[in-house]
Amino acid sequence: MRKYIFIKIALLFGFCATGQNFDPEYQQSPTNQGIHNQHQQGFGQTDPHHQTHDEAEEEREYREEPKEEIITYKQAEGFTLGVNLEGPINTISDNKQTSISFNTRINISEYIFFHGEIGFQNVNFEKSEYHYDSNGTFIKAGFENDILKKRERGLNDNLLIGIHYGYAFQQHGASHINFENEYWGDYSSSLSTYSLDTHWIELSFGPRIEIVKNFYIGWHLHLKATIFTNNRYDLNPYFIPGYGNGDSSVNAGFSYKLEYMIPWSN
Amino acid sequence: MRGVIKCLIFSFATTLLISCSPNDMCLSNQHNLQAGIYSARAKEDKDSTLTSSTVYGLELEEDSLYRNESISYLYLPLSFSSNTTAFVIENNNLKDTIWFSHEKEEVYISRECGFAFNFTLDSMWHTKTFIDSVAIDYPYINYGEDIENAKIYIY
Repeated sequence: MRKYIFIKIALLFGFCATGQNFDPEYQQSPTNQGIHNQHQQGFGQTDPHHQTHDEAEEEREYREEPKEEIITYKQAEGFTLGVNLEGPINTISDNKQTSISFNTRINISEYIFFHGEIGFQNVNFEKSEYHYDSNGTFIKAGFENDILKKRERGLNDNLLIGIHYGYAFQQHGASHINFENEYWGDYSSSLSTYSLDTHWIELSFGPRIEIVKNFYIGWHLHLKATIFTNNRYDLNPYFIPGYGNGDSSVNAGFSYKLEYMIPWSN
Repeated sequence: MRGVIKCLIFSFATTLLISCSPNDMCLSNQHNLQAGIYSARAKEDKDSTLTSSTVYGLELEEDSLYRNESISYLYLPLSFSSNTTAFVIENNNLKDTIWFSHEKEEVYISRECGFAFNFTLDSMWHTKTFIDSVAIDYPYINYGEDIENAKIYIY
C-alpha cells in the first residue's frame, strides 16, 4: 500500500510540475501588459507639472477604475487517441490484476467533447480463502465540458468535467474455495466460471495539459455508481473492468491518460 | 485558478485516503453453535454451571474443546462435511452426548474474507445422564451474528 501511495504522490507532483503554466492568471495577458505599460509611461515619463487638467483627470480615472480585459483565444480542435495508464500503474501496487485501456476525445464544439474508452482486465490470484479468475472488457462513453473558458494564445489546456455511461462484460469464477474448520477439518468447493454484465454511471473531473504540441497528459478523479448487474450468484467480482471494486456499489478512482491530438482546426 | 488547483490537490488527497481505508475485518469461528446451560429445576430459565467439565466432539476424545473447566456457555463448532454434529459432555465421570442436525448454505462474505457457511439448526437430541432436556432457541448460525442458538437444561 505504501508503494501505491508513493507512486500516486509522485505522479501528482510530476503533473503539477508540468502544469506550472497551467494557470492563465499566472502570466500577464497581452491586454493587461498593455495597460501596465501605459501606467508605467504615465508615471515615469510624463512630468506632472506639464499635465493639463484633462490629462490629470484621465490619469485619476485610470487609477480609480483600472479596466481589465481578458482576451479569449480559440483553442485547437480535433480528436485524440490515448492510453489510460491507470491499469499498468495499479498492477505495480496490486499484481493480482493486469489491465489497459485506450481512449478517444472528440471536439463536438470548442468546449464540449465526446469521450470514449475501451479496455481489458484480467484478474488472477490464489489466496488461502479462495482461488479466483476473471477476464473482462469494458466500454465507456460520455461527454466532457471544458470549464477553462478564458485562455491565452496557444494555451490548449483543459479542465474537464464529464459524465459517462459504463458497461462491462466479464467471465469469472472461483476454482477453489476453502472453508477453514480447525476442529472438524477444512472443507473445499468451487464455483464454475460464468458470465455477468455490469452497468454504471460515472462522473469525472480533472485537468488535461498540453506538454508538447498536440501531446497531452491528464489525470482525472472518477466517481462511479453501479446501476445494474445481472450477477446470479453470491460471488462478487474482485474487480469489475473499468469500474473497480466489485464489492462496492460506489467507487472512487483516478485515471492517468496520455493523448495525442489530430487537429482539424487551430 | 489557484483555488481550482488547490481543489484538485484536495480531491487527489481525498481519493488517496479512500484508497488507504482499512480492509474488511474477517471474522473467524463463525460456524460455532452457541448453547447456554440452564437449571432444569428452576421454573424460569436460570443460568447454571457445570463444574470441572470436559467437552469434545464425538470420536474426537483426544481433542477437547473444554477440559476440566467450569462451563455455563458453550461454543460448539459444527461440521462442514456432515449434516449432523455430535458432542460429548463429561461431568464428574458422567457422560452425555448431544446431537445437532443442521443444513449449511455457502455464502460470499467479501473479496478479502472469501466465503463462509451459514447453518440452519433442524433438530437436536441427547442422552439423559445429567441432561434433562434441550431446546432450539434461535436456529440460524449466520456469519457475523452472536446469538444463543440452543438451551441445555441439566438436573
